[in-house]
Amino acid sequence: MNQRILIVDDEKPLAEALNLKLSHEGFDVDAVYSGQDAVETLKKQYYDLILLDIIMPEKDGFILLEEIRNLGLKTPVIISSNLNQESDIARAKSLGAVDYYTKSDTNLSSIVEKIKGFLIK
Amino acid sequence: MQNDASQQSQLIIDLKKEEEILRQIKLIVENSHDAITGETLEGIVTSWNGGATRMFGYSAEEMIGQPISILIPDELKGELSILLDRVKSGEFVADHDSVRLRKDGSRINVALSISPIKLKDGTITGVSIVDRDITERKKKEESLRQAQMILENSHDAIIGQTLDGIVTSWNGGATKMFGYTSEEMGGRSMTSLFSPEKKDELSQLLEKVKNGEIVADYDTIWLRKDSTKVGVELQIFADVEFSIAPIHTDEGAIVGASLVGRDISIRKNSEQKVKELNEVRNKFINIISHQLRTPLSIINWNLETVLNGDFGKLDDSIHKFLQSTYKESLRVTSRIHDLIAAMDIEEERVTLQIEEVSIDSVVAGIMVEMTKISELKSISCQYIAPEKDLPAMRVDAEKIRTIISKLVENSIIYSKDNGKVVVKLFAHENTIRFEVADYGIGIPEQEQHHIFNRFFRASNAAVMQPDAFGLGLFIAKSFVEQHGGVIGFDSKEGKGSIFWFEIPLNR
Repeated sequence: MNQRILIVDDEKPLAEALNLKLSHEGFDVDAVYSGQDAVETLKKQYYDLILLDIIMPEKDGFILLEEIRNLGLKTPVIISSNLNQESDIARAKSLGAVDYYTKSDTNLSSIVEKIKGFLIK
Repeated sequence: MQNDASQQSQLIIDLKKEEEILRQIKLIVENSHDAITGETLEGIVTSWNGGATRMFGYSAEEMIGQPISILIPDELKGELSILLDRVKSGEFVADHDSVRLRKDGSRINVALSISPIKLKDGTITGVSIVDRDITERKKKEESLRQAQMILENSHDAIIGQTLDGIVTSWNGGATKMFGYTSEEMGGRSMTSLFSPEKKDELSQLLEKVKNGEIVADYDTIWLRKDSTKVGVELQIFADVEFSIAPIHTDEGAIVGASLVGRDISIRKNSEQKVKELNEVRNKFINIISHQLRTPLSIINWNLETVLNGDFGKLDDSIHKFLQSTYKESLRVTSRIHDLIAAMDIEEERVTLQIEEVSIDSVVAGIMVEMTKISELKSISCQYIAPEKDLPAMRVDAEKIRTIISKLVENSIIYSKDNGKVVVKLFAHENTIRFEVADYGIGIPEQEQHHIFNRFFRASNAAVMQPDAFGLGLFIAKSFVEQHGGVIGFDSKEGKGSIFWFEIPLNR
């Protein structure tokens, strides 16, 4: 059975590009574009990994991280960061994120490698 | 008879004595530094001492029998008769400032004293005039007057005060600056210029002055009286930069403090403006950069997906075409990253994300990427790895990667075609040392000390590679220093450069 990945990013084209790439790599991928939708989706469906954007309107990545933990989910979260701001990354890690990449710094194949590295572990 | 004789001889003795006294008086008068002359009530000279000759240039022979008015300039001719009238009525004239003409026509400032010459019965038969040369005194007075005027008209506030802070002098600049006149402040305490929270400031400063210290360029804010609204006293602030220094007597005792204050509100305002403009500029660059990053990421990822053949294998010509598009897009992205990094450095937002890293493998990874660029220029890239394994280091891997990429990339870019770049990594004393050597264009000697400056580009580099920012070395230096390291180089124009950095092993 394929592993399931949830992409949470309010930038739809970015989420779509990731979705396409990861699907090609053989993952089952869902993409949602808001924090609220992410919570609803996570209540219904099990995921092996979450790629989470930090800066989103209303419910941002930090709030979402806390809610994921409050739901009792142990799903690993990789931060899909927009800004390469260290303080944000440190905060996300303290909230349980396992890793991060900066979108504009990182090409898709590196992201795939990072995910595979994580899921094989 | 004998009595008569002795009386007569006594008289002769008395006369001789009197004669002697007169002779001495005459000598004193003759040699006096002051001009002492006798005149009739009509102003005709009857006696003329040596002092008069020295002062006015006329001899006694020339002057006796002449009217004294020869010495008086035209505009003052009337003055003498007024003074003589006063003397005739029995008055003395003392220290009356006037001007006299010398024989050579030059003018001399004198202080006159005039007294009547009386007979024993009190009849006034003439006058004696004593003229004292006051040229020096006048000169001093004039320079003092000028100094006072300069003081008064100075744009700076110049204030004299006692060691207890009581105002003894207050110039026009002080009036302009604080709004109080010298009448209002004279004799009053300086404390009215201090807001309650600063009330100790003055006594602290005066304490220093008592010890003979000078306090210079001290920035503060004092209270101003402002009565621009009639009947309303507004207290507003004056931004002052001042110097305060002791006032000494000739003997060296400290008797007061002089204070020179300059209104710096205009300067402060412009400093504030510059700061604000800087912030606006940085904010602008930040917004632009961040706004551009997301669309660039989309472009980059989509191109990557297409180039990867996820939509089917591409025609060679299309692949090549998109590949070059992708390359340029990555270039723009990396420039924006440099801009953001430079802003973060400038605004001190950079922090290190420390992890255990093998620098050897970081360098090896970068060398693989760099080969792609060096091959385009047929440059051979050699990496001389450390002889024995280096210990893993606790560093920010991303920043170390940035430093090394920038240094190696520079070496490749500024090498001539078919050149050679050699990269070395080794343990050196208590550090790990990285070196990259090229045989490229080098850095002109006179520009070398600017090379790490933000946006600086060497003149020969700008010719060879016109479109670059000049941020790479600035960023590299800052990142190295954040790791407690040192960066440096050796370069000769036309021969090449070696750039190196060292990071301490035990951080």
